[in-house]
Formats: sequence, structure tokens, C-alpha cells
Amino acid sequence: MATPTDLRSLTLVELAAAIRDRRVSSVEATRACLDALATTGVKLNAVAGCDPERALEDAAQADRELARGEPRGPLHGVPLAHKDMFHRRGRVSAYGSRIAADNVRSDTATVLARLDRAGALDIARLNMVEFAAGPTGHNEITGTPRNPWNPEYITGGSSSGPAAALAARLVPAALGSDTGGSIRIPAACCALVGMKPTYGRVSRAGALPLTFTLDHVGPITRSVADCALMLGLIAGHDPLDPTSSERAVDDYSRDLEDGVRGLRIALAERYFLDQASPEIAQGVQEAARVFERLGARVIRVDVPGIEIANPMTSLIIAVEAAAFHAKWLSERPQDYGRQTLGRLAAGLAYPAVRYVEALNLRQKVLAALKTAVFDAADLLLAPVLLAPVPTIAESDLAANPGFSEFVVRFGYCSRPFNYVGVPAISVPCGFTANGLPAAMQLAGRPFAERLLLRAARAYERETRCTEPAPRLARAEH
Amino acid sequence: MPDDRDDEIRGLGLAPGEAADVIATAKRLGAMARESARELPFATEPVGFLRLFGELAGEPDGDTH
Repeated sequence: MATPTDLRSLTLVELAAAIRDRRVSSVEATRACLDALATTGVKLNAVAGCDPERALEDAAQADRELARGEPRGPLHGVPLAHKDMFHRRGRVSAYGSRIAADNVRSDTATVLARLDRAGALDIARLNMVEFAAGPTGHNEITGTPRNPWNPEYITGGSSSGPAAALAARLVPAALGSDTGGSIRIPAACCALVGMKPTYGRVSRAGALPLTFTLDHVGPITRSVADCALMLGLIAGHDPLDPTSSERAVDDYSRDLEDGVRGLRIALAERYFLDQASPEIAQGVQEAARVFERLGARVIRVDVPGIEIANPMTSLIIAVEAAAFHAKWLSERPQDYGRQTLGRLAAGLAYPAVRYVEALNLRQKVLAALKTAVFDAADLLLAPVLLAPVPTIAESDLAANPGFSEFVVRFGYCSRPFNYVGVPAISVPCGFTANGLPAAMQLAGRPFAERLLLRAARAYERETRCTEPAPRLARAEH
Repeated sequence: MPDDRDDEIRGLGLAPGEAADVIATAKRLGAMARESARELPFATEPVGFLRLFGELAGEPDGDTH
């Protein structure tokens, strides 16, 4: 019989197959995850809420359905947990905040409803940056999640709890959200795979908004195949989200193993590599060499004017978030964490004309990406972070003047793709001298998720980059 | 002219240094938006961005939704 640690070491695809084939029961898998969430999960500050009794009842029900030969879908009986911002009817969504601590919902997020239909269990709410407003993972209200690779280091944010939970093998997959890098940055800090899909590819109905123009919902997983599976289950038009696309959803797993031979991959020295620390730049350049060995052609490009994307993303986030939070800002400013309050306050400072100009400038950046990258290549390869993952202490800037500059720098590589809405996937690419993971990202044309996943899988298969696990995840609990 | 926005920010209870930092950053980014937007063609948005997005997505009419 598999030990709980064996069970938790399985990827999403593997665990789903094991439950489907009745080699493992949903109750066994769920109990293993619940035990780990209650021990390691609490130590890592990854858990926002959990109802073990309910989770085990759901798992027992899934086992009974399977015994009757009635699987609901591809994730039948698989225990998952998600960032604490996806609403579920009758349950609290606290958003990593004090303000919404008692926020019992009457709606269920479309992405959760879709995972429900696929048979998945939703066994816990995972910690996050307060209101998803920050990229490092710090949270003054609910506590800062710790990185399973070294608990002194940040997980990245804002999907901090999901990243900690996945890296520690507490659950096999999770949903996050990404407004300026909030899926890709934590995935990068914790050696995971994180996908920010195309704007409109995944419904945002029933998910906490941060910035309507830039918010994306997507999967965080431990392998590329898991990411493809999750994305396929949550993608597609939703009448409850008018910004969701009616375009047909690809079969993201279909050509996952087809490799990158003949693909053209763009690499931008200026802006991305020349700003990165030597170890990060070397990691991305080595990834480019791997792609070349696998038959892709790497093309050096320059994207003129891309510099404007990061600061304009800051401006848009600040304004839209301040508008969403206006009521709480006026009535309960004292209940926000200081960093969050500072970020939201910035939005009050901009005249409306500046906001519209920031939106208008998206055309300039997208046109430059088209001409420089997508007219010549299929994908763009870039770092996720400019520097190695920092410690919690050194990046805790709650009371430091100038923290907004730090935040702007942290999202330097990730935010341009939120700004123009194109898809991007974060993939681990080794470790830096401090022992923490490093990562690259691949970005593509709108709705090119299938191609991104295929390229990411080719790299993963060649380098086995998603196989290493933190020591903490290998120990029996 | 007095700036109501600055007053609103100071009224949130941020430390004086933090409020000043927030306002200074906003002024700097706002100036960047203003300067950069001058280079844009006249009256192209939001249609221009959406059309380009659609074109890159392989939708000739620019409609990705």
C-alpha cells in the first residue's frame, strides 16, 4: 500500500489515474493531503481554511460513485485546494484579509464549478497576499507563507499559499490569479509550472478582482502535463463573464509530446537579459541552448518601447484596485495591511486622463511585440524574475519608503504580458547559488497556450526540471 | 490649485513619508503616461489595441470574443 508521502508525490495526472483505476481511493488521497495541510501546511502558513470532515465526506461520496462505475470527469475524487479568492456558495472567501474575514459567499466561481464538474474535490482555501495586491508573498494580516525550499525565503505572490502547498506536495494542483505575475512569480520561486492564459481564455466570474483589465485566472501545477489538464478543464466562454472568449478551447494535451523542432524562439537581450543578474541570465541562455539542441531556432530580438509596459501596469493596477476598494478605503483604512494600503492609495493619485493614456499605450507595446517578436518567431523566452529569490526579511518592505519601486522591479519581466493580455508560462530552469529555484517564461500570441505548453513540455522532458522536490516534501509526516 | 487627491491619500492614515512616496511615484508614472501617449496616433483606442490583439490571435475581424 502506498504511504501518504508516496501518494502526495504523484502528479495530478498520475493521482487522477490512480483513483480512476481504483489503485488508490479518494479517501486515502484526501486523508494524506489533509494530514499534510494540517501539519506542514500550517507550519508554512499556506492554509487559510479547511473543513476536513466535509472533505472526507466528499471523498467517500466520490469513492461510492466510482464503485458504481459513475466517474464525474477526468479529476474524479482528486483533492485540490485553491487560492482563497475563488468563491464557493456557503463558504468564506477571506482574500488574505481582515476586512473580508467573514465574507460568506452566495455564489460559486465558474472555475470552481468547472472543476467540480470534472469530479475534483476542493478541500482547503490557501493563503494569499492581502487582496492579491503584491508580488512577494508578504501578508501582514494572515502571515507570510514560507518557501518549502527554504522557509527563510519568500514564496512569491500573490498566489503564495498555492505555491507553498504545491512545492511541499500538500496538494497536486491549485488555481491562482495573475494580474502582474501572481501565478508565474510564485511558480518561479517554488520550482513549479504556472500559466497565465490569454486575457479572456478563463472566466473570472466569482473570483476576487484586483484589476479588471489585467486579471487572469490560471493553474499552478507541478508538471506541464498537469498544467495542460487543468487549463483544459477551466478554459472557455462563460456567460457570467462577458470578457471571456467564445473561441473554441484547444485540446492542450493533444500534441504535448510533439517537441519544438522547427519552432522559432525569440530571445531579447535588451530589457530582459541585460537587466537580469548573471545567474538568472545564464539560466535563461542555457534554456535557449536546450531549445536549440531540441531543434528550435533561437532568434535574437529587440522590442522597442517595451519599457513602458511595467510602469503603465503599475498605474492601471493602482487605479482599478483603488476604485474596487473605494468603500473599504473610506470606511476601514485601518484594517488594511500597511503595504496593501500604500499600493491602493497610489490609485487615488492619478487623474483619469493618465489612466486612459496608460490603457491606450497597450497598442504601442503590442505593436512592438508583433513586429519584433511574433512576425519573426513563435514564442518569446524571458526570465520571470530579474534576481534570485530573496529572503522574507530582506524583502519585507512594509515600513520602508520606496517599497513601490521594489514592487515595480519585482514584476519587471512578468507584467508586460499582463499589460497586453498574451499568454505566458513559467517553467523552472535550475537553481541559484542560494539554493532557491530559478525560472524562465515563454510568452506567445493570443490563444497560443497549446504551443506554450508543447514547448514547455519539451524543455521539461529534456531537463527533468520539475522533478526535484524540497527536502521537506520528501520526509514522511 | 489644491490637490484633493493628495488630501484623500493623506487621510488614509499612511505615515507622512509613505504618503509622500505614493504621491511622488504617481506623479512620476503619470508624467511618463502623458509623455508616452503623445507619440500615439490620434484616436486609435480602444479599437486599435483590440484589432491588433485579434489580428495576432488569427481572427481577421479582430473579434476574439
